[in-house]
Amino acid sequence: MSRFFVSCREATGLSTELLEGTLSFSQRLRVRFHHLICAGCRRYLTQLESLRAAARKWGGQVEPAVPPGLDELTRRFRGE
Amino acid sequence: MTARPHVQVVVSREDQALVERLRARDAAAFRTLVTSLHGRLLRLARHYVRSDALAEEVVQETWLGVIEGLPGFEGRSTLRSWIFRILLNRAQTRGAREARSAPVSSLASDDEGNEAWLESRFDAAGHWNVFPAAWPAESPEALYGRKDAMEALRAALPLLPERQRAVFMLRDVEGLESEEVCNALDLTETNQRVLLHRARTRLREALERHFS
Repeated sequence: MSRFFVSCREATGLSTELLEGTLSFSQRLRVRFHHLICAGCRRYLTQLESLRAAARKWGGQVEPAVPPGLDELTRRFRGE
Repeated sequence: MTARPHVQVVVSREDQALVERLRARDAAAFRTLVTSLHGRLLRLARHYVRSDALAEEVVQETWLGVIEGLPGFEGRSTLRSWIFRILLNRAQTRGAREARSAPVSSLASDDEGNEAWLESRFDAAGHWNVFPAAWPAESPEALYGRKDAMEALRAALPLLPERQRAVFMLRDVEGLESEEVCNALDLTETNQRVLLHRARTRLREALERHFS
C-alpha cells in the first residue's frame, strides 16, 4: 500500500487491524482518510464495530455459576 | 499456519496472587475461580458439542485438567488463557469424535472461499459496486437489543471454520487480550488477526443477509 489513496477493498481488508490498533501510523492515516470520503466503508466499519461490541456484551452476560460437582472437585483439588 | 511458542504476556499481580493461593491448595481460591469461569467455559464448550450435558462433561474434565496441571503451570500465559486452552483441547477432542454424525460441524477450511462473497462486492478498481445497506439496528446497543439479530449471529457461529470460531469466541465474545488468544490457540499474532478478520467478515455477512 504505497499510494495515499486506498481502495474500498483495501480499506475493508484492513478494518480488523484498524480496530485492533495494529496498523502503522501511515496506514491508519490512509484508511482514516478513505473513511472521510467513502460512506460505504464508513458504514462497513460501523457495522463491524457494532458486531464486535454486541459480541462483547453477549460475552459479559454470563453469571457466575456453581457447577453441580463443585464439592467433589474441591475435594480433588485438596488432594483428598 | 505454523504454531509458535508462547507469546510473552504480562501476568497481572492479582493473577499471580491467585496462582500462588491455588498452588497452596487454597480451597476458597479454587471455588472462586471455578464459580467465576464455569459459565463462560460452558458457553464455549457448547459450541463444540451437541448437548448441554456433554458441554457440562467437557467443563468437568477441564477442571480436572486444571487440578492436574496446576503444579506444572509456569505462568507463561495468563491463568484464564491456560484454562481456556485446556477447555478447547478437551472440547475439540470430544467434538471431533462427534463430528461424523453432527450436522453443524464446519468442514470448510480456514482458507477456503473465505472472502469470496465480500470480494464480489467490489469492481475491478476495488470500489464498492453497491454500498453495504444500512442495518435497522446499527449501534452496538440496538444490535444487541435485537433478539433476532443475536440469534442470527449465534446461528452463524457453528458454520465458521473451527479456528476462526475459536478466535472470535475468545477475543470478541470472551474479551481475552490478543496475546492470551495466541497462547490459548498456539497462534502467532499475525495468524490470530487473520483468523479474527475472516471470522468478523463472515459474521458481518451473516447479519447483512439476516437484515436484507
